[in-house]
Amino acid sequence: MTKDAKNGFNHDLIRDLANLLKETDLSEIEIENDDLRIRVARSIQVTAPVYSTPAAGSPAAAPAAAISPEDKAKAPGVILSPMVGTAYRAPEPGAKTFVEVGAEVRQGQTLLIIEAMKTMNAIPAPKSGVVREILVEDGQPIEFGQPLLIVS
Amino acid sequence: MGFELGTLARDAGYDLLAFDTVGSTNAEALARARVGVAGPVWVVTRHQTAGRGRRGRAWETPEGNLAASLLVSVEADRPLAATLGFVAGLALNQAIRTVAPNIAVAVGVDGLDEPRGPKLTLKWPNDVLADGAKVAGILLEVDALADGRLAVVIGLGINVAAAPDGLPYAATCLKRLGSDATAEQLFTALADAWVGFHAIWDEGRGLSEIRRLWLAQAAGLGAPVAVRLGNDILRGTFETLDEDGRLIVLTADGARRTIAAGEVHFGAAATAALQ
Repeated sequence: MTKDAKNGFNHDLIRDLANLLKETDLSEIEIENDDLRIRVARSIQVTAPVYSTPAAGSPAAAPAAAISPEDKAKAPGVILSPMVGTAYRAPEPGAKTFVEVGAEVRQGQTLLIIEAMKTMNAIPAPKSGVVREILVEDGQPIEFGQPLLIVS
Repeated sequence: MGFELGTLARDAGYDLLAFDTVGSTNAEALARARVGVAGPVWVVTRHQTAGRGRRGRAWETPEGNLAASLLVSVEADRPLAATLGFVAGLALNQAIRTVAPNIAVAVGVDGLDEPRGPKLTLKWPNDVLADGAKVAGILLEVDALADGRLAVVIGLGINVAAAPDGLPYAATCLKRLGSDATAEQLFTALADAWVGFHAIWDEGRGLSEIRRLWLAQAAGLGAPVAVRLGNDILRGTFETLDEDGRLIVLTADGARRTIAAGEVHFGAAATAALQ
């Protein structure tokens, strides 16, 4: 066995002990030899089964759609919400909506508003195109990253 | 006499655009942002003819009241930009105290040296109340600039000389509270107070301090709260604000709900409202 002159550790011994630890499935081995004491330990992760229950009070599930929201989030031209808030499709209740499906929009044009903390956030078209889909309703609570519209 | 920036605001590079009468100071400020004005610029008037509140509600600014909108450009993201509303509320409370010393800002435990008089508090997210009646409202509007930054317009409407009648909530004005301050005096104090609190906010890096200061003046902490969320009404207790300034409501069954947006009623109004 070689002994590391620099720090007095016997690397081979430690490596052997570590292997022994794995073989025996133990979590800890400690040996003492003259003035040398080595303790080798590893943490064993106990995996508990995970039960998932739907959160109470969560918004009612959307009617079954042909394409899941996860797919919409990856659709080309999709615009994702930059924040949590409430979506509004018109500047004020009863007013004309900012856009409808089929509308041609130019870059920077306001598509809808998301309100959070009495802050009205205009959500602009990132590029010019045609509104293919509108994925939110007026007054709907919105999560961060939720798909809002598809413009392509 | 006209509107003037205070020394602090002038030295910090703020501009001022004053109107005798204007439709909406927020609309004027937003229009300038859309043609590339980065600010910081205050747009002010003592008479607004088409002032707006939340969701298309009119905000009346009869002659002698103050409507002031600040346009700033920020690097912050949208949730962080919204916390400028807290900065505005703090600045406004300080400004009111500067020009109307008989009105106390409720901070912590009542000190003996505090003047006796109406107490100002901040109602989440950003109204100013005096003894529970609304003195001022704050509405923020945010748009993206071509360079990727955000244009933030912070609109403040303050009942100085008059308060509208026939509102579904209690309202008052500085005059009724015993102050003879003018809209011009209040604005100068506001523009200077803003500089101080904006420096604390520090592009959002100082939000925890802003939150602490805001909570010390909060209306309805620990009291009943009712929030309309879409078609649902959530009832509980106003526990605190989270680190991003959202309302934390503790419901009767012990659950904590985080509220970013919604029509909020506190205290006695929470029990009566939203039936």
